[in-house]
Amino acid sequence: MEKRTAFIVSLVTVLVVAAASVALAFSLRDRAKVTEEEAGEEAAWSGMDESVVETFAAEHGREARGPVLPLEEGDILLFLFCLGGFLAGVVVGYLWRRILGESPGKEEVGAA
Amino acid sequence: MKDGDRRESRMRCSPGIRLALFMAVFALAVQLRDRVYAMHIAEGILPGAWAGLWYGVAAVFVAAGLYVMSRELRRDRSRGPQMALMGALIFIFSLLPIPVPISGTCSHPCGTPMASVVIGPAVSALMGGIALLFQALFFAHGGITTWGANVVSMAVVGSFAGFFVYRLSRRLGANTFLAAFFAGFVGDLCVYLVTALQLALGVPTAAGVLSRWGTVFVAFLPTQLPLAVLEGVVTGGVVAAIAGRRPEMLAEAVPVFARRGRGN
Repeated sequence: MEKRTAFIVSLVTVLVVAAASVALAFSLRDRAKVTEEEAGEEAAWSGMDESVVETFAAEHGREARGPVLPLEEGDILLFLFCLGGFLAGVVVGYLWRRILGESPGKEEVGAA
Repeated sequence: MKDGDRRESRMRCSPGIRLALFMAVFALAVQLRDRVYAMHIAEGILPGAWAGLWYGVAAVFVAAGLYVMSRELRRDRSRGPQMALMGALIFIFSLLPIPVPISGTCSHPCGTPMASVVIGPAVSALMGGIALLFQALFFAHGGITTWGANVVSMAVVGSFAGFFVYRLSRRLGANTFLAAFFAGFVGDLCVYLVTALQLALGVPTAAGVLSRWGTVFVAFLPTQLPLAVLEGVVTGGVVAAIAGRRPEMLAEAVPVFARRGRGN
């Protein structure tokens, strides 16, 4: 019963925080658009670095430079993201299994 | 146990392998985009003096993280894989562009609040710094000159804010999931609060610093508020899963010099 109450309290709290956050985000979305005006259609689904950070900086005389290594040519960056994501995913999966293994409940069922 | 039974037993353990494959495929799938969107402060945005200052602040916390990590590893070698796991999670989380329909832009969770609850904020800040260095060097994500600023906002502030919100929530009676949810939610927003401050200080305009800080932070909110909720839910889920299987892991997390045993 106590567990159930804790679950309900957690669920209600998360839902209240989520609803308040989304409502606040909706009410403020025009404020974010102000910094996107110069970017125009290209801003659709852009990262916040472009839509907010770089636009704000560019408006005040600070332009972003390219990365130190020339990685934005062709599909090099796409390859690196795929490789990085794959390797990190393997590491996370392997270590999660090694550290946390099976849940105690499952082990008992397996042993039985 | 016969060989056949052993093999069958290993087959029963295959959910771990399935989890590894799932996470690898998931990480691969979310990166398969025709263009990569970065969210950290990019190369060249901050003037040299500010970039140097943030490097100095970051260096203090990275050094503290190295000290705590080596002390923890001397005490218990099994903490190493836990730190590596959290480092890899920070790397994936902070490289993951998630589209938010409300604002029509993408941004990413931070992962550092979650890591700080498990391995402590000092080591989490170090892991975040390493992840940010890899991203700046090999993923055109952030920048070398702005590495210090990104470390301070995402790695240091995200870690310490998340850790202390988690401890405070537990002390106020919240269960593990709820405390971790608040840690992720507040930690995520704190990261962008500090990023906005860094921009307000580093990019001079006619308006005052406070006005610029407010303008930039409010511009972040339509995208970042829903992602903060998402980060809170993921943090709560991961920390609750760890607490259910290895509760002692959470008790071992210490800020820098504090006593152990109050984290789970």
